[in-house]
Parts: sequence; structure tokens; C-alpha cells
Amino acid sequence: MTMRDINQVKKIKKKKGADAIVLDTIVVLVISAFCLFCLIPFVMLVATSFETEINILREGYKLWPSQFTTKAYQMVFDAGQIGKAYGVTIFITIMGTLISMLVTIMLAYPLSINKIKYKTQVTFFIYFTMLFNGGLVPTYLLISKYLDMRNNIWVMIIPVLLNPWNMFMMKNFFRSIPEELSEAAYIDGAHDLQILRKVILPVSVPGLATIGLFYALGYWNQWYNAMLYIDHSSLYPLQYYIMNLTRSIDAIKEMARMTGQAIGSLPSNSIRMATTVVTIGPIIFIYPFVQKYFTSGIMVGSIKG
Amino acid sequence: MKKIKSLISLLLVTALCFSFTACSKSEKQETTSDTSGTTTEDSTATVAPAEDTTSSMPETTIKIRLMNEVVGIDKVVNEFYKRVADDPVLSKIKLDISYVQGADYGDKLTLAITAQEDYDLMFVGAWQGLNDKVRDGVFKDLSSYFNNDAYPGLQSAYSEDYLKSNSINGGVYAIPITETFEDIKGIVYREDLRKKYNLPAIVDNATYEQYLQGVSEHLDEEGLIAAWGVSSLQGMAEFKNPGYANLRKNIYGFPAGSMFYVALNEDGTKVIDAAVAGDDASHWANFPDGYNYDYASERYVDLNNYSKYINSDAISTTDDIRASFKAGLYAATYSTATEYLTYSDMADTVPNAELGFYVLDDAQRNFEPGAIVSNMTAWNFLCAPSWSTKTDAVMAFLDWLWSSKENHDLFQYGIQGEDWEPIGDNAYRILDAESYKMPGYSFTWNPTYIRYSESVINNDYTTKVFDYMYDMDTYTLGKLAGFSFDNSKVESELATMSTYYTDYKFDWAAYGDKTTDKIKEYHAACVDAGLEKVRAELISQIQAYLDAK
Repeated sequence: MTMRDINQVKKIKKKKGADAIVLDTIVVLVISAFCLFCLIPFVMLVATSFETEINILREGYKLWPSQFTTKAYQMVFDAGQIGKAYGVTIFITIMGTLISMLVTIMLAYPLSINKIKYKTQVTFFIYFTMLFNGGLVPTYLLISKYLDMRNNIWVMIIPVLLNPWNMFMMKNFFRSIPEELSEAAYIDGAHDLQILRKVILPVSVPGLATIGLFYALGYWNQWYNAMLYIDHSSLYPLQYYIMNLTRSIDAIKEMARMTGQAIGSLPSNSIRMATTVVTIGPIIFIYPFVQKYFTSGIMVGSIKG
Repeated sequence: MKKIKSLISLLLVTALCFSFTACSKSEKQETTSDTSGTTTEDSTATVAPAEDTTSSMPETTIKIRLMNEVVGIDKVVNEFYKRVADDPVLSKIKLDISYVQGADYGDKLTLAITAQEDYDLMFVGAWQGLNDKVRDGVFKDLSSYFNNDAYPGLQSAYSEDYLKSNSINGGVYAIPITETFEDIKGIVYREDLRKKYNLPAIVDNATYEQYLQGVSEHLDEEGLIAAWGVSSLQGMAEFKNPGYANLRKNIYGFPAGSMFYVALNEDGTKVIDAAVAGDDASHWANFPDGYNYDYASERYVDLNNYSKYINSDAISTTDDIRASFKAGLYAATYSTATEYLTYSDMADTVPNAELGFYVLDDAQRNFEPGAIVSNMTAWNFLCAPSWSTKTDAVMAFLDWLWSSKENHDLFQYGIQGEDWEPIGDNAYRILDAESYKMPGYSFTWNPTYIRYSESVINNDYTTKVFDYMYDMDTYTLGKLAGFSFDNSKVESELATMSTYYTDYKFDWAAYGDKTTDKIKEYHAACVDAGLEKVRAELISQIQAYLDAK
């Protein structure tokens, strides 16, 4: 920005009327209030995770703990399995996302090309699975009995490898890329895989980032398949491990109630908050890295429009 | 593109590293198991068999699935092996005990049954569709193992009456797991506050109300939310509940869409009538003296006199009301005798807190023999799946488990001197609460082998309550023991009525002076939903049961 530009900006600023200032103030206040609405629950969550159970019951949720304790975090980390659970979750998130993306792209791209035969039938075949599925019992029998995948880390990846919704989104994204690009490459002698790898994928980064994030979040939050098919706690993903941890506290309370044991004040509310902090921590950092692709994705759409 | 390539390569390398770390510990554990003969995982425990001393029985691994966390089972199983090393049969049995958390248990049980998973003994709760599963032929009839001289342990632990009360379709398809048939219901209250404000000793409902009134005048001083902490789960359902007194008069309560009060004649051979709150006088007219009017509605109206003492959010609160009481936020709350013991460390959170326990039923409070009319049925059971081929081994193990207090205590409390120690013949002290955890209610409990926890014997009154509760003379077998209502003919009516039963909050005294009108409204809704059909079906089935006796 040159000095001339700066002076112009200053002039414009000087020209701002009272109504504009009022408007700006209102906008800033509203946005600030919105930010507070987003931030306060999160601050409360973190504060509660460091609060004693008795104080939570007596004083409710606060923005700052009145009696600081790390008991809830000690319980989360003392159990000794959390590192392992993180390892399992990171493994299924990275491997799952990569393989899912590969499968999704390999299916979405051909379906986005007009010249492919039986495209409608294949599309319907996939769409059908969005409307109907085998149901829990047949799926369970298939995976546990016939495929013998119980207590196998891949059971948290393979059955959910392809999400039809994501596949259709990816397909539509590929369709939005001008056909002339691939035609030019075809004329230059490139075959379909080369076109996909060297022409389509480089211009599809926003779409890939979005779908990749969806898959990554899905795998990161994976617990249901673990609940169904995993018995060994060494293979528990983070979310199911955390779920079990809070449930085991409920079970301890239940056992104490049935056997008449005094067990003091176990962190119950605070451990829920602590586990939330522990589980959302890493995945929340992915957002800033992919945010720019969302923005560029929106811009691509606007230019085309 | 280059950046993406390098990013993907980086991700792949990272993933491989994590795959290595994620799998490495399991391998290590497996290696350990190879060398020591013991595999231990948090949720399962498999211990190698004792040395083969006989060829009379092939080496057999029995897989047992329990509900809720088991900790430290491998050392107990090892001890079991030591104890049975010389036994020609038991020394051939390997134990593989696993567990599933209670919240997932029902779903995983259904799936395990559907897939006929490799289990030989599994915990099944009565609320997990046990009767239906027995009807579907999922479990084996184990009758032949009980009252059988070849299984003396089972014979001594399971009396004929106990088994009969818990039989399904005339057979022992489910082994009952319980220590007693009733956990005495009462109110736990702050004895220190009662003394501080010179309130009379709580001996009946009138003095309890005086206590609530007295404490209510000092809520702010004492930092109390309300005098009486009531939860959203059950309201004041047990307070002034005529259930126990009814049973002693041959009136049985059946929650069939609505709470039906079914009156039998004196010798229990004929159904007099079945009535619900809001029924006209004709349905109550022939009930025994003292109960020949709509006393169910009268109670609902009466509860309004106590609403001023309870917390204002009683209907909606999701807080753990026991924890709130323990934090000193209420001066009284509902409790069972066993739950009452869990408050023994309350002085840690509320200095100088002293507690008292007020038993709600008059006859039980006076320790009258035979006062509890019970069906003597358990809620928890162990079942052997019909596809298991190892039931003989399972029953041999269970026979050993319940053949002596020593064997039973090993699995219930862990290693003596390490996890627990006995106090006399009838009590125990936990030495290390973390080293061994066994949810006895899903595996080991039996009325023959009772030990009180240390906190019971530290107090004369609780000892008296527990002695009374565990004494079989306290119980009278109900005339409808063994009867279960088959709701298949009135399924839709029951479903609709149950919704109304849940929606109307009479046990929370939610309607004040409009309670009577609300009961009429509720009753009219139930009539529209098919109340008379359910009533007729219930009477017919009970009468048929009595006729067949």
C-alpha cells in the first residue's frame, strides 16, 4: 500500500458518519456477543474439568474453578491405556481417511464422466444403499462370523470405507470441473488415470480437503464398530475408550450402591468434561489447515457462477 | 501438487508408524502369554489349565461373559488352579472370563446369541428379555444338575424353593444370582441436624414430617437446597407406598400399563378384583378391610402435603440425588439399607455429619418375622447357551464355586490377605479396592454365602437391619410366586397405557389441588386405551394360575 492509498483510506475514515459508527458498533457488539456465546460454554467446560465434584454439585458450572483439582485428568491418564487408544484412533483416522479417499475418488471420477457405460445403474446401486441396508444383525453376522473380523483393527475401517454421500459430493465436484480440461489432456495423449492424477486432482483440492475432513472426523469419532466388534481394550479407539472410562465410573458407583461400599466422591461430571477436552484437542487443530481450502472452494464456485 | 505428494507420503509414514505402535503391545502381550501360559487383557482373562492329572475329561476351556468391569481376575483364576490341581475333573477346566460394560450388555448379548458366539455361560438380566429367550430355546434346562448328589455344591447353595421360585417354564433355564430377596427401603437423613434443632426421633411418618418441617426452617443456614431431595427417576414412589402392607393382606401390585392392585381371597384361591387409581368404588368394594376404597388416589393426593419439602426441580433434575445428598445439599433422601452404607464416609464432605435410617414399612421397621411377602425371584441370572457343548464342565466349576464359603469368597472378594480380609465369619474388610473387582451380582452372589461389609458391623442398628434382611424367616412366599403376566394379547393397550403412566407425575405431587381431576383425566385416557381389556386379561391369567396350583 502506497502513501497515497493510506491517505485515501484516512480520508474515507474521516468521512464516516455517525450512523456508520453506530452500525459498526452494533455489528462489533453482535459479533462479539456471538463469539462469547461460542467461547463461554467451552471455557466452562475446561473450568469444570478442573473443579472438584462436590463444588460442581454445590455451585454448578462456573467460568473459573473455585477449588482447582486435576483429579479428573489423573483418572483419565492413570488408567494407562489412553496412549494406546490415541494410537489406535490416529491409525484408523490416517489409514481410513487415505484409503477412503482413494476408493471414493476411484469411484466418483468415472461416474462423473459422461462416456462411462452403465453409469446410471451403478449410481443407483450406490444410491440404493443410502435408502436401505442389511440391518444390524445381518451386518454383524457377516462381519463377525463369516469375515471373522472381530478384534481386528481393520474392522473399524473396512466396513465404513465408502460413504455414498461423500462419494456423490465428490462426483458432483468432479462434474463441476470444465470438461475442456480433460478433453485437452486427452487430445495430448493422456489416458484416464493420467487425466485424473495430473489434471483433475490438482484442481480439486478444495473438494478433496472437504471430503477428507468429513472422513477424518468420521474415523476420529469412531466408536460404534468398536463397541460391536472389539473386545480387547488394547484395540479400543479413543472415543470408545473414553466412553468406557465414564461408564466404568458409573459401574463402580452402581457396584458400590449394590454392595454398600463407601467410595468417596468420584469425579463424575468433571471427568466428562476432562474427556471432552482430551478428545477434541487434536482434531480441532485440523480445521485451521483445511479452512483455506473451504474458502477457495467457495471462490471457485463464485467464479464459475 | 508436489506439496500434496509430500504430504501424502508423510501421512503414510506416520500411519505406518502408528500401525506399528498400535499393534506392538498386543504382540508383546501374546509373547508373554506364550512364555507364562497366561493371557491377560483388560476385558478378558484366560489362564492356562492346571497340570493334567487325569484323562477322564478332556481339557476344556469354558468361556464366561459377565456384566460390568472385572479387574484382577487372572490371579484369582490362578489360585483356583492351585486349589483344584489334584482334582481329576476340575484340573482339566480352563477359565476364560470376559466382561461387557452394563450400558452395552443388552445389545451385545442379543448379537452374541444371534451369532451363536462361543460362550458357555453368560449373565442375563431378567430385564434383558430372559423369558422370551428361554421361550425361543436359547438356553439349556439345567434342572438335572440341581438337587443332584453328584453336584453337592449346587445342592447346598440352591434350595428347592429357591429354584422353584425362579424356574421358567418349569425348568432351571437360568441360575438365579442374588444374596437376598429385598433391600429394605427407607429414608437416609441427617441425624446431626435432627439433634441440632431438637426435633423428635423419627419413628413414623408423622415424626418424619416434623423433621422435614423443622429442617425447612433452616435451609439457608445449613446451605440446603431443600429438606428432602427427590430425583426425577422415582419421585416419592416408595413413601407411604401401600405395597408391603398390601401383600400381607393378599393384595398384589402388577405394573401392567398402570399399577393394578389385585386382591385375592383369604386362602389365595380366587381373584376378588383388580383396581387402579381412579377406578370407581365398585372395583374396590370387595377388597379386604382397610383397603376397600380408592386408597391409591388418596395417597397421590396426600403426597401434596410433602411437596413443600422437596426440591423444586424434582421432576426434571438429572443430577445424581445421592451425590447431592452426600454433598450436604439435602437433609434427607430415599435410600435402601445397602445404599445407606455408601454414605458412611459422608463426614469427609460434610464435617460432623451424622446419619440416620428410617425404614418406611411399619412391620419391617419393627423387625416383624415374615413381614416381607416375596416371590423370592432374582433379577440376575447365569445361563448356559443351547449351542454350548461344555455345560458339564461349566456346572462342575459352578458346583466347586458354591461348594464352600472359601471357594465363593475367592471369586467374590479376591485373594485373602491381599485384596480383602475376613472379620469373623460374617463380615469382610477390603484391603485394596483397586486390585480386584468382581461384580458379584453378575456371577457369585448366593444367599448361602453372606458376608457383611465392615461398615455394617460398625453400627448396631445397621447390623440389626441387615440380620433381619438376610434372615429367610423375614420372608413369606407370595401366593403368586412364579406367576408372570403374558402381555402378548394386550401388547398395544399396555404400550399406550404405559406412556400415560410415565407422563402423569403423581409420585412427584405435580398437580397440587388439581390432583383429583388429573387422576380422573389419566383414568379416562387409560379406559380409552383399553384398561378394561387389560384388567380382564390380568384377572383371567391370575385365576388360571391359581386354579392350576
